[in-house]
Amino acid sequence: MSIPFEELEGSPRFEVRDDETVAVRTFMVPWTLWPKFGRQLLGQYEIRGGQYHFVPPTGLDGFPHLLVSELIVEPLDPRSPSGAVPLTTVGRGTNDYTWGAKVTAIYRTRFDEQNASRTKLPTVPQGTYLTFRADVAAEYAATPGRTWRWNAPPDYPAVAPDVQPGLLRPQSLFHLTWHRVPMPPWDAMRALRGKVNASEFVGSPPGTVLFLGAKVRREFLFLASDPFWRVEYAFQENVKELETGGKVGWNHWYRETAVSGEHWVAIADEDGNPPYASADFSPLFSFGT
Amino acid sequence: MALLVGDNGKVFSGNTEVADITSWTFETSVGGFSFSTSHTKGYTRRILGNKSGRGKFTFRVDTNEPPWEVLYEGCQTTLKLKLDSTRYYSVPAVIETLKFEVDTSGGKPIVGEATFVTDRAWTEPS
Repeated sequence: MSIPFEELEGSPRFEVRDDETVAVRTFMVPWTLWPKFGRQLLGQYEIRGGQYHFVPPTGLDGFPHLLVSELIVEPLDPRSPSGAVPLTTVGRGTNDYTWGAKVTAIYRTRFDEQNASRTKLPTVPQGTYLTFRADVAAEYAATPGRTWRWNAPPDYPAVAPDVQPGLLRPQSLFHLTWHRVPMPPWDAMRALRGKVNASEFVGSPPGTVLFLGAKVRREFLFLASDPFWRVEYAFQENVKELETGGKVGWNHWYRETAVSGEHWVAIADEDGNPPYASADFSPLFSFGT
Repeated sequence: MALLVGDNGKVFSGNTEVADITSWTFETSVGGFSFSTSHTKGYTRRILGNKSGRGKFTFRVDTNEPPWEVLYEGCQTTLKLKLDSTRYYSVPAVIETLKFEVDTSGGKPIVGEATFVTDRAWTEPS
């Protein structure tokens, strides 16, 4: 259904900031139709035949990276409620405005097209998008003194057992925020928490990325029928370089005595299980059921 | 052609006639504002806002029917503004101001003026 609208004078306006571009457009739409107009601007998912069908948001011509992030709705002429049908119950009906609603749509930079500047992100369903954010992290491990010798010729004495040199290993904590998700993969989030990547993930070798969990919150709650979610996945990357140039991660530990020239050696329990099970992370980026 | 003359113009506040009316006015207007859009092709559109009205009436003070017994500022009343013996505006109104003018020379009568603004919808003469 096409919703009649007019773009009001003074619209659009742009602000280019150091971290985003903001565009503001104002529209005049019939009062009773502003919710549908809002959905058109925001985009939505519809369930048809049990499948999610993406209805894309209305973009801003010439600026494909800008998406509507906020809507402000007010009467175009707030001084003139029609008053045609007096309200008798607070819970039923609201003022109606003959001249309709003024809908202010605020567009913000939400992603860079195709994530060109941050490659190797997981693929997500059409209409949703991922943003990447990284932070610093570190792992500290105390090692027994017997592991080391003082690098003091000629006799290179052993480090005393009560001296425990610590190793601070820089790591990376990164977040993949998945926006506009109609149905988060709750089961996958639960099942994969605490596991490491079985295959390369966001450019990191297998076994080096630990899935810490997710923060989830709602987006665009103005209509009950089109809930979106914002899912923020947290991962911690732990990369140890081998002498051969290979890279290993969470299941490798420092061994006093090298094995085949490598001090970073995988550990496992008596049944051969590593501390961190590995798994395919792709279900984290598919809709749940 | 049947021109109306104002000789029989009167003002009632509720059911009480305001004595010795010499003139009255009633001016109505509609609010709103002009604007343009993507559809107006260089012209402006006009939003019609709410209707409102204001007016005034003048009178001579008659001590037998003193106006201060009928009118006071802030008085909410329905004014009947009669054009002639049968036609009138019925105007829910609030009296905004009252003014009395005393001229001490030449035996002129004391005159008064009341201004009012509309309060809700009025009806036109039938």
